[in-house]
Amino acid sequence: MTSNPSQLQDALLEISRITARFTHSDEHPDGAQSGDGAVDVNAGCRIMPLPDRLWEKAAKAAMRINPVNAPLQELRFGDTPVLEPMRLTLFVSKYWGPQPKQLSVSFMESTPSDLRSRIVSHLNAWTNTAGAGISFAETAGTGDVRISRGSGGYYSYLGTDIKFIPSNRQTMNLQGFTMSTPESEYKRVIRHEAGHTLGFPHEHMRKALVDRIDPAKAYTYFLRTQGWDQEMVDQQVLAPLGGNSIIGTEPDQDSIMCYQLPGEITFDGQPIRGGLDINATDSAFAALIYPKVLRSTMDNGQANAASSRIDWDPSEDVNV
Amino acid sequence: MSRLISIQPSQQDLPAELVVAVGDVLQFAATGGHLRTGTAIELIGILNDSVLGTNGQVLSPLGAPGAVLFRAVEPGPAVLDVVTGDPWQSPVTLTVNVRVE
Repeated sequence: MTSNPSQLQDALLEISRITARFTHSDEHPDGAQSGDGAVDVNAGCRIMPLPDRLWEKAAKAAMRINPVNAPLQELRFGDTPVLEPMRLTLFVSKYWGPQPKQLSVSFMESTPSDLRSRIVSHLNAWTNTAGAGISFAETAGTGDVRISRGSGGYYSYLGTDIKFIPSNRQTMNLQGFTMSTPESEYKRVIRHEAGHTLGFPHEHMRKALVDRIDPAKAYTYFLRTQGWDQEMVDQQVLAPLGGNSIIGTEPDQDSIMCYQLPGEITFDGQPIRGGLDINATDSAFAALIYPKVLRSTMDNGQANAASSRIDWDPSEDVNV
Repeated sequence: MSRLISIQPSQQDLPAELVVAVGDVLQFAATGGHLRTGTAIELIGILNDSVLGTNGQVLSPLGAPGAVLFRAVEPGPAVLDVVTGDPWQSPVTLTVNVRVE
């Protein structure tokens, strides 16, 4: 196993090429054509999905067998996990999955076409710059991603949660963005919010970065500047992501998913710099978990799996 | 009847003095807020905008709080500070003079 992202990507690409030869070719490996009564060369190895009722059990078993399978946990307060096992399963579902995907985008308010295009182009920075196999495309209908430029600041729902937001509500808020907004803000804000839509949480909630913050200073600072009480400061700044967040890079204060935090609240007086754009580490991670290289094989594999899902009587379920 | 008064300080001009009645609730689209002076108004809370998802769960976005609620509790003046914008980069504090009748 390699820890080098490019080597891992190369390996995935090679696996993809090899499997594609056997799952998509119209010819047998030995050159013979398939025909009536012949072995169906397209009946290659497929990943069969479990019945829905077993997904949670399977996720728990996978974690017991290999803790690395634990999903990235949501915020924890103190030592008390917020999430019950079912929520962990749901959190897994916030990841869109490795198969390449295109999310449709619409706008809540009347928005000039040049502004729409500019915003969508920055959403697609994760695709065009980082090389992720997930992209955004504007639709005239109701999009998966629904953007408002109204009041409420900047936010996005996390990953596949956007599918559960009522269709008359925005999934992403970009308060006040216009064509006059500086390009640097498009990079800093829109690419950050797009990261949430892809399922990336806040990088400044990584334990190594949270440990740099003096809670007493943070409480004082945010009470003075925002009026936030301690609970709000805990939620926004001080609650680290769970220790099982293995599917991540090393904590990176220059990640686009990291907020800027002032030196006034850190133990060492140095600010947490925060990211101004998608950086190399962001790119490598996004490309790894949203690979483009599985496009041909995964599309067909997904279709095959969906069309041939099987089930059995629940009394036959096996306890692991 | 008491009123829920929705105010979007970043998108509309605020009057020199905002006149409300006892029992009214002011909902500012903002990331933070303070009661600077007065006892006529109380801060109810600074909240995350959330929705009831189609899956039956309450879903909250990742981001700063988006709603600040005050309630008029007695006649008299009060001065509020309401914070808008990006709390991490460029917060903007607006001062609102309120008179409760």
